[in-house]
Amino acid sequence: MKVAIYPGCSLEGMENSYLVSLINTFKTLGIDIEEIEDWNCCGATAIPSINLMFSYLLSARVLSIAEESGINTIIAPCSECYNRLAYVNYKIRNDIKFKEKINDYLKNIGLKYDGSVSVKHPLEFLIKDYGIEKLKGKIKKKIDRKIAGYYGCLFVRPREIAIESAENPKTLDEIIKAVGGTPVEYDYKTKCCGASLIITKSDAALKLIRDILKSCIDASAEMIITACPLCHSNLDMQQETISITYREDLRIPVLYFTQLLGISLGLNDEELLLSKNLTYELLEEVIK
Amino acid sequence: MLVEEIKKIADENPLACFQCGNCTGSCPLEFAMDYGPRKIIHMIQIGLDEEVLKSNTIWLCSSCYTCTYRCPRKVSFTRIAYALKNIALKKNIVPRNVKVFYETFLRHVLEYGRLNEGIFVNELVLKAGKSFREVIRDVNLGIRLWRKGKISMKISKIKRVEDIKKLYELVEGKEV
Repeated sequence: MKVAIYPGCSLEGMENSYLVSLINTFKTLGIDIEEIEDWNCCGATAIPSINLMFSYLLSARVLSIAEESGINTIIAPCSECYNRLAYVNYKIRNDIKFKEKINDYLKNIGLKYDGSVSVKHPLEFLIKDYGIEKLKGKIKKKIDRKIAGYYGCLFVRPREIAIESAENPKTLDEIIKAVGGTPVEYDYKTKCCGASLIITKSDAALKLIRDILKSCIDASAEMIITACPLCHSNLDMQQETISITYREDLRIPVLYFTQLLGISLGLNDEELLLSKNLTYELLEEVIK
Repeated sequence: MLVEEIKKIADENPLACFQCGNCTGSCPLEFAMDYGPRKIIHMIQIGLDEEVLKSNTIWLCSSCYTCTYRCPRKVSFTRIAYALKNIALKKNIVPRNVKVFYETFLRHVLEYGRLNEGIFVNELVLKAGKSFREVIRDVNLGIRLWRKGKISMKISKIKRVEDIKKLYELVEGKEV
């Protein structure tokens, strides 16, 4: 099995552990990954805030390069990248005027896009394309712990690109069950973590992160798994600041679903970069 | 008029809103906003353009799409907020730290075709005019991230960065 990946800037930068753990986990499952050539930033939330059309063109350039290289499916592990690429793809496939407009612009850089590429989040790819039963068959080590799957926003909303229900999502819970854990029920599964507001409106974002952590801990979760670099960095990196700001102990290990899966597949730290998580020491106590 | 500009930029129609308030009830950031999403849409409907552009609401929208998901009239406040951000930035009605955030992000995209996070975060701490308390908080976190080897100053640049510049030149001033 082979699939193309759009890593995105964050997975190349601070959240490299998501990329490394994903590549190694997929490899162990027998899925080879190739990177899209000369990919550019999707624009995240910043570029659409400056110029919405420019942000659409950034995604369209990536889709066009993929189509030209004969790629059928792209996986985009960052929820923000997934959201941007999948939405532009949806618009191009369903709005002929939009498609024409995009192609009028792309012409100027010698590209065109017809809409043949499908964009998937790796969770969807693993569960639907690879198959959850096949995945269960590969598990070597059971992780019998209470685990909160934190979904965040951008692969469950808006409706046009959602991989599942935003009101009652299940994919991360499927992964938790597959590795032998128990998914906990809590209220904040798809409540926003504030994303980049941690930089521009940090007090507001800290409140959102605090509420999510508290909701997981109150539901007796022993760890949280994430599927997005923005969710991950907010939940993992801000725990100390939150403890000081809110004067409550809300420390809990946070890891990527690919890292959890990797542990249960028997991979080591070099392959999963677990020690890059700021909450790694807490995780060691939980899984020892 | 904002109604027309929003239609042009984001292909959204604020006039379709019948003020049910699902958006405001769903918004995770409403607690920090001058006016919630429902009120902002109402203000757009009755032409209070200046008040809308000056409100802190548009900069607090995190783009979580909860309002969009639950709207019975298929109006996306998230995309309306994007259009409002486009317009407010153009008119320079924007808090300083937000402006620095967007300008620095744009410069990375135009110069490298990608966001180089390590360099980006450093630039923001230096330029954003943060309070002393915030700088201490950032530096404290920065040191911990540095020790973990999470901050890289390596530059990643795409081969055909001129593609990106060209696309921006074509849309700049035309689409907003």
